[in-house]
Amino acid sequence: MTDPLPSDDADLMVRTAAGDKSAFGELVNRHQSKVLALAIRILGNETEAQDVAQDVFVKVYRAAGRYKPKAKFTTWLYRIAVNTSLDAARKANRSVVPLEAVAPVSDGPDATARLVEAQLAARVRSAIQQLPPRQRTVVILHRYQELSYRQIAAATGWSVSAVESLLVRAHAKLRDSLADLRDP
Amino acid sequence: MVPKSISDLELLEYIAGRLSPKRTARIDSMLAESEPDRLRLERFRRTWEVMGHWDVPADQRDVLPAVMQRIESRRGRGVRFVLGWGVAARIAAAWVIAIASGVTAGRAVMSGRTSVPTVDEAAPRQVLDADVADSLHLGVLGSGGSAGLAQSIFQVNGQHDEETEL
Repeated sequence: MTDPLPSDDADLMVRTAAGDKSAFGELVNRHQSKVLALAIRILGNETEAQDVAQDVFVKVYRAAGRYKPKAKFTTWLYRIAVNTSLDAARKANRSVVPLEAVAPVSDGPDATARLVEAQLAARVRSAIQQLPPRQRTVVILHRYQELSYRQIAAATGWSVSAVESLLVRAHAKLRDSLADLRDP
Repeated sequence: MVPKSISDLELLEYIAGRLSPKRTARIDSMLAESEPDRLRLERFRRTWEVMGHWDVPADQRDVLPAVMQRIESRRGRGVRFVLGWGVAARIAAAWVIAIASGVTAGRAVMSGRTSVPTVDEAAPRQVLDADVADSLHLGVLGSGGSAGLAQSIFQVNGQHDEETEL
């Protein structure tokens, strides 16, 4: 007898709706790092991102009874995560996140390399945070969450042409703001 | 014929590796024939690679315990009747219909289109129907219907007893 196949997300949602907490736990474990990473990048603040990630999964739990597996679960999850993150950003009334100080790097043989890496990361983070919220969101979903522009349109509810336009404009700005880093 | 340039979006999708094999092969051949497109691709690619330096810390706390605590604490507050928008809209609509019906009926009455039964003081009082009086065995009491019964109960020595007047 072969081992049962791991449940897919839709199965886990159906079981969650029936009150199966272990199924819900499995869903959270599968997707929390994606959701957290998205929230951290949109908000630029890890503490707020933790709160947002919790909000997202509480909403998922409460909506389990209404979930219809017409679209992929991750598309639906991203929709909740993006909206919750953008709402939190709006409430914090922050369009530009202040640049955090680069963490001190301890001495060591590769300390210089790590410092350079940390400074690069800070520059990229700052450049992306400087983008308007919708451009920032599509760039993050495209580059870091690895969604295609059509998947981004489905996840955000924005039209495909809007996503295309946002992505192209965002990359044009990033090309300019990171020009000194990308040119040899 | 000037070859069509590759769009920025397609270059981004090409760098991300999200085009179909057929489309990727087509872009490859277009790039081979167009230096401007190759230069654009290179600028996009370097920005793409620089963006890769922004890593989110791997040591992220597990959100599940906090999520379950929030779900459970909400349950512990007892049943909370939460109206969905659909139910709220139906209740609101029912109120509007009820109020509108009342207003309409009131206006109709006030305008005299309908009449409310009124007491005509000049008309003879109607006494209980004889059948009803019989069913109540009022005849046994020697009274001619309810009026007679009431009179016989409340009159003392032919005088109306005000203390018992209803």
